[in-house]
Amino acid sequence: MEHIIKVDCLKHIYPDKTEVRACGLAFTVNKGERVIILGPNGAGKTTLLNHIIGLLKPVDGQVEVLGMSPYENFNKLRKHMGVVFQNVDEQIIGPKVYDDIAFTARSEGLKKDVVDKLALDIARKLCIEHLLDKIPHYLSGGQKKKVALAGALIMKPDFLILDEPFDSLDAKSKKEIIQILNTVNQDYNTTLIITTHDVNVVPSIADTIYVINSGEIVIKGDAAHVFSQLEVLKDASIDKPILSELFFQLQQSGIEVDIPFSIEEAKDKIIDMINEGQRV
Amino acid sequence: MNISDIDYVAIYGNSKFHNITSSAKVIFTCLVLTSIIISQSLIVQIALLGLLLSLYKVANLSLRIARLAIYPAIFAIIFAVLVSRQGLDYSLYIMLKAVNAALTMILLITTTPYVEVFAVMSKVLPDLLVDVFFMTYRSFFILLDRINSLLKAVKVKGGYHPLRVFLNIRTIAAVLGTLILHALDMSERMYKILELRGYSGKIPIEANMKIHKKDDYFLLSLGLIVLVGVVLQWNIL
Amino acid sequence: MSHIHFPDGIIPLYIWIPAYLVTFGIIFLITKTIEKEKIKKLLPLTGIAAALMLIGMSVPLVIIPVHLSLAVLTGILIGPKLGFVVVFVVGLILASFGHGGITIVGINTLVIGSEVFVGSMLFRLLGKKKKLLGVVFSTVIALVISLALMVSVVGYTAGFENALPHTHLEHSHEHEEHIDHHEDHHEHSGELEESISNINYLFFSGWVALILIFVFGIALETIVTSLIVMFFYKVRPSLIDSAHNFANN
Repeated sequence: MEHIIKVDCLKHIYPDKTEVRACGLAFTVNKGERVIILGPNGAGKTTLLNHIIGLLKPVDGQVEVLGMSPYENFNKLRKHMGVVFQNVDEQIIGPKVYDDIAFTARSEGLKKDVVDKLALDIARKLCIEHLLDKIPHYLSGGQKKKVALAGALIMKPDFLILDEPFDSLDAKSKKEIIQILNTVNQDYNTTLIITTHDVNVVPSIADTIYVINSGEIVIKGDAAHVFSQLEVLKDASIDKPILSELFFQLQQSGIEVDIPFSIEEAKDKIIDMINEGQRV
Repeated sequence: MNISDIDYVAIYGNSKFHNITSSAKVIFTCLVLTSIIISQSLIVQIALLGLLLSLYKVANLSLRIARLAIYPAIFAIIFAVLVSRQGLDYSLYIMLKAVNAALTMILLITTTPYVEVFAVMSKVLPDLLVDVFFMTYRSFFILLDRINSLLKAVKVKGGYHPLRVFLNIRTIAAVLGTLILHALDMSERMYKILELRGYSGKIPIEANMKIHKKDDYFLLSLGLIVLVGVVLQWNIL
Repeated sequence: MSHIHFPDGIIPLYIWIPAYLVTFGIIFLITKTIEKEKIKKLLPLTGIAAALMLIGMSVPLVIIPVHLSLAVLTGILIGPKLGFVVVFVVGLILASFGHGGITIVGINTLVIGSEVFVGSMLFRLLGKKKKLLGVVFSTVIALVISLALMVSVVGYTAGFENALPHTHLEHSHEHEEHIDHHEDHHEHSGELEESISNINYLFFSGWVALILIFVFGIALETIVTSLIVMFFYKVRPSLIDSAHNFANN
């Protein structure tokens, strides 16, 4: 399968001389894939995203998006991307929610009825049509995230890039955002590239996980593979998801059981164990 | 009472006046302001004050809001009494003119969100001016949040003491420094966002200009009657 | 620093209407001549500078009871053109809740706009080589010019003989001479002389007080502006240079 994004041993130096790298294992993304970049604060996740978006010029190494350098082809590639940064407050430019969601479509010069339809469709998909007439700074954190997401999705981009989308959200909002992202991925085949340090959400949204630690991509693989590399995760100061931790402890107590990555999977395993008469 | 309080009252206020279409309220404000400025009669100014206070009642606005007009009143009194020295009637007339004009503006801005007032004005103002306004409005609320938490932190950490001027100056310098750094980073991020979202030199906005409700027409008629009344009275005198 | 807090109805029509027209004329010229790329680049910073000006005026900072306008700083940060637009927008927002009349916005924009323009252009001229000296000099000159403009407008409206301490002083001298002339015929000349000298003293102190307020205001605004500009140079050297095209030279 052809990779739509390729990053090869990237190096970036900030004006204050801080050096950030993303080396180690190759970073590649396929069309329609859901990719999670996991790592502690300061690991280089956001720097990697900014290079993929084309906001930064690499000092060394190579970044390719759809076969082009994103920094040199920013305006061409911009139209293929939807981006939601960590601080959504700064991202919401429109004076009202509707204006913000419709911002890119209107800036592209689309006709009013087309813009209206696109904005309403995406607002419905994200269940925020009742907010369209509201003024952004009076919305809750979760609502603001959804508005920013709607603004990024209005033109149905090929890939959606999200920097820490679950940061400071309550459990309900997290669940809703995960559900929305998965729906968008299925309905539009949108490629998702998400950075996070929240391990508990990872299994429900990732096809491929990259773990970054101090500028090195140290693990790549699906949830089962990544969360079985306990030593590497520990080095990267990443906790295991609660479910993995629980079943890992069970393994340590001598119970033969695989580690599940979703509540449903865990429930089935526990029922199986009870049925088989094993001591839990 | 500051900008954020006014904005809140305008957005969450619920009254007949709040529900009138924004463009009708902006036109009404222009008509009444013109009347206040061109009228040279104390009686007319008193009548206009009565009208404005009744509209405050209709708009469910508290006296706390009308208090904003005290500031222009004081300046007008200083001007009228100390500088012109032309008697009580004239002083009262000058003061009422200032208070009425301020009350008219405050009535508009506490019943119509800033965003809607500027959306209406965007039909006549240049794009650059409108964009700067909207950016100012968004940045204001983001930075206000930031400065409020900074000031809270200052108080909690004991960086402010009513009588220790030098301590306070040092603290405020630190707060300003932090705020400015944050503002700088924020402006860089916002620039990137504008680029990414395809900003083309105009922040598009939907302005609901259509005057269609019964109350819209009533308010516009009231504004016209006031203006015509003032002009007629002016001509007769 | 200098802006007029006059409410509506005091400044005559033949002053504020032309002031509005000139302001709109300048804004029209700005929109026609400013490069689109520059707007894109500086729009967020412009909004933030305006927001900071508004916050300065709406957050009750009890800590230091002084009112700064930061207009020269705005001019140095974003250049004279966008700086002028910011002054107008901030004036309009302030007037919306009675902080200065809506009819005064044009005059205030011209007065503070002159501060932004002079400060920014002088800084462009002087700040390239000597940064600190450039910012201090341009701030002081800009403030003196805008103050002179403000005093002229207020003086013209209120009548110079009423508004300015200087003319009060001359008046009192005239009174003094007039009364001196009749001194011999007056029973209570000594008392009068004393009261006249008191009046003189009062007017003199009024004049001095006004100058002191102006000097204090100029000094404070200059110190704050210089500190902030030097702080910018320390943390983001390219920011101001790019607003004034210093980097290209």
